[in-house]
Amino acid sequence: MVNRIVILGAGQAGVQVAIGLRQGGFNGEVVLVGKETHVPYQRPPLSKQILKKEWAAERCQLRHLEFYEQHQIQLLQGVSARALDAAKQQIVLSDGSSWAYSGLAICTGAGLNRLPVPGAELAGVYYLRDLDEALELSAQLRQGARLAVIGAGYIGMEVAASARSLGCEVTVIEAQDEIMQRSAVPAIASYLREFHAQQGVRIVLRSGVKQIHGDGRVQSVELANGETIAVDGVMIGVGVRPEIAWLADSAVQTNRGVRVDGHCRSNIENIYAAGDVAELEHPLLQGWQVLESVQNAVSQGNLVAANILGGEQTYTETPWFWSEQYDQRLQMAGIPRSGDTLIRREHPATGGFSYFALQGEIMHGVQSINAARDYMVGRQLIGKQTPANPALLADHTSNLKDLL
Amino acid sequence: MITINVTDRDGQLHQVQAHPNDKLMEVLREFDWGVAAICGGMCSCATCHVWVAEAWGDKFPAREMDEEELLEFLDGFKPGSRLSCQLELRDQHDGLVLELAPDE
Repeated sequence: MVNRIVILGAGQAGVQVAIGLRQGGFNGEVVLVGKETHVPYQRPPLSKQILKKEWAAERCQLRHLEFYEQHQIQLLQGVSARALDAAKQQIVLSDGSSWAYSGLAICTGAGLNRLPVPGAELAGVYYLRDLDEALELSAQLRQGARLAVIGAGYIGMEVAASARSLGCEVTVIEAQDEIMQRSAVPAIASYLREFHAQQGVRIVLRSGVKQIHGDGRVQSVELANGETIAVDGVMIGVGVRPEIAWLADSAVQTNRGVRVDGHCRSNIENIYAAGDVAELEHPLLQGWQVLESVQNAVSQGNLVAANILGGEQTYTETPWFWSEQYDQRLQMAGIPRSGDTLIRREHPATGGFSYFALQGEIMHGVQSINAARDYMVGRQLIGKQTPANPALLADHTSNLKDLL
Repeated sequence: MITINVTDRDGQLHQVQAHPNDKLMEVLREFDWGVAAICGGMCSCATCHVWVAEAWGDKFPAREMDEEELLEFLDGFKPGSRLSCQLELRDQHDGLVLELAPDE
């Protein structure tokens, strides 16, 4: 019987499982399987510091390469999972090698949704899938370059902000009737949309893309309404989905992602999932959720490591997220539910403001623009489910500490 | 190289080597006992909270507003509280003394 934990995926979650296993005193083998050839790295800087050329690529590394050797973490690079035989406790990788395991952590993250229009494969069309693509796009973002961003989610809007900061002409194209509609409350989304417009970004809402034109290399984007926008580059950010196709013939239960219980354990006892690929019922949220965030990847990664080592920890961490666009800092915790009352708290002195989403006095979400204090208090209130007085929240002269 | 003296959350003392110009957080997250630093240094999460010893407090620029706001409502907030992602090390920090604050 082997004493080997195989971790599939070397992103934020997978690396955290490996670290957590060693921190927890595991002395068997740890095999970390990454499909990229870079030293495992964090992704949030790709749309910001890397595009803006503020960081060298190496600075994104989660840990230095020597760290893996020092901690006897066997890092396999450039390979991915191909097939799982849960009964035999064996995984086959894309290089044909097969590995027996005593425990398996699925941290394969999320793959990109592709835009199904003609021309999406042209040179100069990017998805910001990985570090290499971020570096390539970054090289294109020169003063005066024309960039179309298709999809106004976080990544799209962060790329728009970075490109605009570099002096590019930026057009954002979004099919919905607001930017960041999936996650930001309407007033925050509209505030950021207007901020982008003031910075000179053109935002086209309620418009699909019919086709991307070019001759080998992208030249223009044709909208559904017939308008054609001349461009030098295109960045597509139309969402992600958990990377589970490779599990189709396995015994692991999946739905949108890998279905796990409160211990991040799948339907098979020694198989766990963490991060963007995991789907679970979170005690602070409604229904089954796939949480796509760094915080979730790190927290679940730690928890999976502890549970592999015999723990029975339950995942209850309040989810939190952040985004930076220009000098605007958006910080969010929890997830507002439909039917929640939104309470606005404004800070006239700084221009910052926040929205708290409440049902009665129970907070489900907080979203802050340049108001970290509101966010930190909201995050604690959401986690503890402490009742909060809406009138106190709305009054910017009140001391939020009194609510904790 | 400079040496910094760090007490971890179990009370263990570590002497750590660092380069001037390193971000303190990036030094501390390399260790098993180190900081989580989940947001990667964006001053967004408060998971790299340290207590800088009183004698060293004025050897760093004062907290900016966003750092102050993230810290001040933590249970472990003290006068020496800093987010280590906001602290850049210099030659003058040789011998620095600090303690890791608990995760919250």
